[in-house]
Amino acid sequence: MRDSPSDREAEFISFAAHVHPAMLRTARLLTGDPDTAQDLAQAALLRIYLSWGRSNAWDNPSAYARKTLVNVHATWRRRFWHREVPHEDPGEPLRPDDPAQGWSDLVDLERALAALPAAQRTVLVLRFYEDLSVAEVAQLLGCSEGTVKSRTSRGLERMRGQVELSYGAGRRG
Amino acid sequence: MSGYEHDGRQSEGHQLHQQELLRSGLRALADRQEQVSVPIGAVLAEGRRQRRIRVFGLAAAVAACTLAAGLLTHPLSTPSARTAPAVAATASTRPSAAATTPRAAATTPAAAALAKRQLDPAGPPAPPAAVRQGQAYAFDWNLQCGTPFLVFAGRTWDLVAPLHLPAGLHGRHGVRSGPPELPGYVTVTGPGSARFDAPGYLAQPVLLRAAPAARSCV
Repeated sequence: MRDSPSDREAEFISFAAHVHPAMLRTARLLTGDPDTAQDLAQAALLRIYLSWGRSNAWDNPSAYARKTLVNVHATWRRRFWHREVPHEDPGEPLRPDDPAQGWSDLVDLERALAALPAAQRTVLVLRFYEDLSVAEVAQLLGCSEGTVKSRTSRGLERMRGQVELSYGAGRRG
Repeated sequence: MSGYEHDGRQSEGHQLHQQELLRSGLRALADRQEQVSVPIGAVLAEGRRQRRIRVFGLAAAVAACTLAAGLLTHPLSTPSARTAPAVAATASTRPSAAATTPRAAATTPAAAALAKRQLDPAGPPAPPAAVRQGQAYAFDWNLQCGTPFLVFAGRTWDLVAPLHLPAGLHGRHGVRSGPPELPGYVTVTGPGSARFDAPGYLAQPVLLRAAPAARSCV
């Protein structure tokens, strides 16, 4: 027996409240911009809502939300590719006097991420932030494992050239 | 342990260390994202709107398909009806129907819209009871006398220019079954002018003018 629309919406609201924070964090890494991240997370939630209740075979709703987020981001990339300009310098002024420890390191990291091609950035985020395996990333992105490996390798190489991955080393003692 | 193995392990360890650093850096970066409330109201409102649009679009598509199917299956919309002048004039049962119905009169007699005809073993098309100007009537041109003229609607029509007949014409019941005939359409274009179209046989229409007197082969 299928749930009524109100039941489905209640389920969706509960689901959205559960996954939204994680989606927002991943979206931030994918887009590199907090405002765009909010838009991306909202667009992904909307797409999930539109297909909500159609399938009862969602083994892992969080994984589905992540996949939707990545797919929406990829769609944005394809649709608005002409607007995206990977840049070496986002123009954000450094604030060396920031009290937060390692803040400038993070700015460097964010810049290095932003300078990556979107496909490489996505793979790095999925591999090293979401902790997905090569096979899982390949399945999620719909590409081969070799593609994931090569994008990972190239992404890491480019990042090494732009940022010294030393943040946190001092903090870890 | 060889030097190569040692270097390889050092390099691998360095890579793992860098990847671990990247992991912690990405987490720290993600932590900088300001957590905002779930935009559930906006999502629900937009989602409901898009669902309505989908339902409306689906309903419109169904309606359009239904309408198209209805138009296609309508008797007046069948291919035979679209070439109403020719076929209606061909039908021996109702020879004047196409000539008298408004739809038939409104049909454009452009040669491009006419279909290639075949000789009907049952006999030539019935002559129209009344000829309307601009309307194409099925006509089998009997070539027993050659092509100096044709007789249509009780009048004799001379050719404006000589006609070169295509090869392969035959009688009504097949090769050597009788004088060759050329199936086509006659359209009266003016008080003293007409045209003979034979799509599939003649590339150009044959221009005709009313003969001052009746003629015969002999």
